[in-house]
Amino acid sequence: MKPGIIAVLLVLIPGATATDFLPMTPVGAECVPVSVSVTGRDKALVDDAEAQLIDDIDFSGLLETAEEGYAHVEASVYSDDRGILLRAGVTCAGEMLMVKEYSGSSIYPLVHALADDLVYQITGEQGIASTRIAYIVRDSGTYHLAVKSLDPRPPFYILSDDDVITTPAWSPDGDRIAFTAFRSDNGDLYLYSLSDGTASKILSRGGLNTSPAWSPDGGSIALTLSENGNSDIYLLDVDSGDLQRLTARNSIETSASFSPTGNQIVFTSDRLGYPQLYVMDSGGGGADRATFSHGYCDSPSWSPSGDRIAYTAMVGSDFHIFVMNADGSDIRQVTFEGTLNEDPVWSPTGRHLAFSSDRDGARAIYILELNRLTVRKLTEGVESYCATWSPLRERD
Amino acid sequence: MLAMCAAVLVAMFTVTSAGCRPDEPLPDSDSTEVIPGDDSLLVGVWQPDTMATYMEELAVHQEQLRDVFFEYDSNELDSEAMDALMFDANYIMSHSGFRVLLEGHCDERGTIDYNLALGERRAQAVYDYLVGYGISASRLETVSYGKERPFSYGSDEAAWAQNRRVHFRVLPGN
Repeated sequence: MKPGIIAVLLVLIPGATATDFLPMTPVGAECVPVSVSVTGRDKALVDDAEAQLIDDIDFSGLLETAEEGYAHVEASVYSDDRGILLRAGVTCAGEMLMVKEYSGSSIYPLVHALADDLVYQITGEQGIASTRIAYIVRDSGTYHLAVKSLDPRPPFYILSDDDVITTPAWSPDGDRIAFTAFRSDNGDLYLYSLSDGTASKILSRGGLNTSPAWSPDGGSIALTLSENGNSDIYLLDVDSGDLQRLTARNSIETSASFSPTGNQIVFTSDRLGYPQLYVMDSGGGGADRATFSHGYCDSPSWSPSGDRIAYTAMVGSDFHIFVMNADGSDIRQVTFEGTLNEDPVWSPTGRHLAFSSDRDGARAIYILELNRLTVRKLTEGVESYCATWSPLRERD
Repeated sequence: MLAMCAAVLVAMFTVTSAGCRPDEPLPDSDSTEVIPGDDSLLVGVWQPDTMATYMEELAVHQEQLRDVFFEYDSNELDSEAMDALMFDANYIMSHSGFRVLLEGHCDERGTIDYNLALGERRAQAVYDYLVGYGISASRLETVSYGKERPFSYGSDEAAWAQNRRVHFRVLPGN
C-alpha cells in the first residue's frame, strides 16, 4: 500500500478528521498485463474494436493493458454484408492460450466476448464486459426503462410512459426485470419479460408495491407494500402470487436486498426515528441492527459473494456510497464527489458497483471498479438513476 | 523469449489467416462463436390491465360459493349441507384460477378451546368431501376460527345457526 495514495485521498475529503470514515482504499492487487494488437482493413472498425478492448481490459480489475504484456492478444477484424468477424489469438508467456473467432452484427458484443474470454482464460474468473445495466431515464416528464451495455452504443428504451416508472430489478436468470409503474394511478408491480417483450402487472395492492428484490433462486420477490397504512416488507411468490408479510411495525420498513444464500434480507427501517440498516431472516421475524455509525443509512445491496453490503449514508449534508462487511465492520466510503450518490448495486462478480450520482449536474449512472477504484460515467445527457445490473450473459 | 513469442505469434497468425483474404467472403468456421447484438432486446408492450379483471372474477366466485351449515355440536353434513356442498364442489371443479380457504366456525356456546377443535372438524369434513369429489388438494386450505369470528352477534338460535358453518373464502392463485 503506497502512502502517497492514502495522503491524496485524505486531501480530497473535505474536512477529513481522524473520526471520519476511512476511504475505500484501492485493493491494489496486481493486474495481469496484457498487450493488444488489432488489425483489419476498415480503419474505423479497427479503432473502435481496439479502443473497446483496451477499455474492457482496463476496467476488469484483473487485467490491464501494457506495451509488453504477460499475455498478448493478436486480433483482426473483417466485415462484409453478412456481418463482422473478429478473430483473436492469445498467447501467454509464449504459449498459445486460445484461438477464437466471434461473429455478429456489431463489433461491441464481439469485443466484450473476447475480453470476458481473456479474463477467464488468464485468471479463471468471470468477466463482466458482456453484462448490461438497466435503469430509469426521466426526460421532460416522460419515464423510460432503459438498458445500456458497457460501451458507446446508446441505451435501448424498453418501456416508456408519461407516469412514473421506478425501482427496476433484474432477475437472477436474466429473463425478467421487475419494476414499479404508476400508470394505473397506483404504484403497481410489473414484470417485463426479455423473451417476449411483454410488461405485465403482477401485483396491485393499495398504495405502494415498490423496491422489488429477487431471491437468488428467482422464485420470490421481496418488496415494500404500504396497504396497511405503513410501509412494510412482504415476500411475493412469483408463481403462485402468495404474499407473506415479513415486517409488521409502525415504522417504515423498505429497500430489501437478499443475501446470496437467500437466507437473509438486509433492509432499511426508521424504527429508531431515523433510517438504519437491519438484517433479518428471509422468513421474517426479529431483525438485528447492522449500522451504527451514520445518522441516515438506506438502499442496501448485498454483494454476490455474501461478504459485503453496499449502501448510501448521509455525510454532512451529502449522500455517499459506503461498503462494509456483512457483519457491519470495516466501513469504507467509496464516493467523494457530488452531493447525492445513491442506489448502489453490485456487478454479478462483486468486483464493481453501479450507482447514481449528481456530481456532473443531472443524475447519471456511474460504474466503479473496486480494485483500482476507477469510476466511469455510463450515461450521458438525460437524467438517469436507479440502476440494476444484469447477471452474467449465458454463453454456449 | 520475446523473439520466440513473436515467432509463435507469426506462425499462429499465418495458420489462422491462411487462405483468407480480408476482402473476400470468409468461410464459415465451426469454431466461430456467434454473439447476438443487442438488438436482441424487445421493445416492451404494456399488457392490458388484467389485474382489475382478475379481482372482479375473484369477487364473482366469492358471490357464487355457498357456505355450509351445521347442527349444534356437530360436524355432520345433513341433506341441506350436502346440497350446498355439491353445488360448491361442482363450481370449484369447473372454474379455475382461484383457491379456497375453508373456514370452520361455531356458535358462542361452549368453551373457546372446544370450539376451535369443532371448527377444525367442520372444515376438515368439507375438505375431505371436496378432495373426494376430485378437487386438487393444492387448491384448498383449512382454518378454524372456533367461535372467535362470528358472522352474527346475538344470543339466540337465529344468530347461532348463522355461525355454525364452514365459510368458503376465495383466494388468488392456482
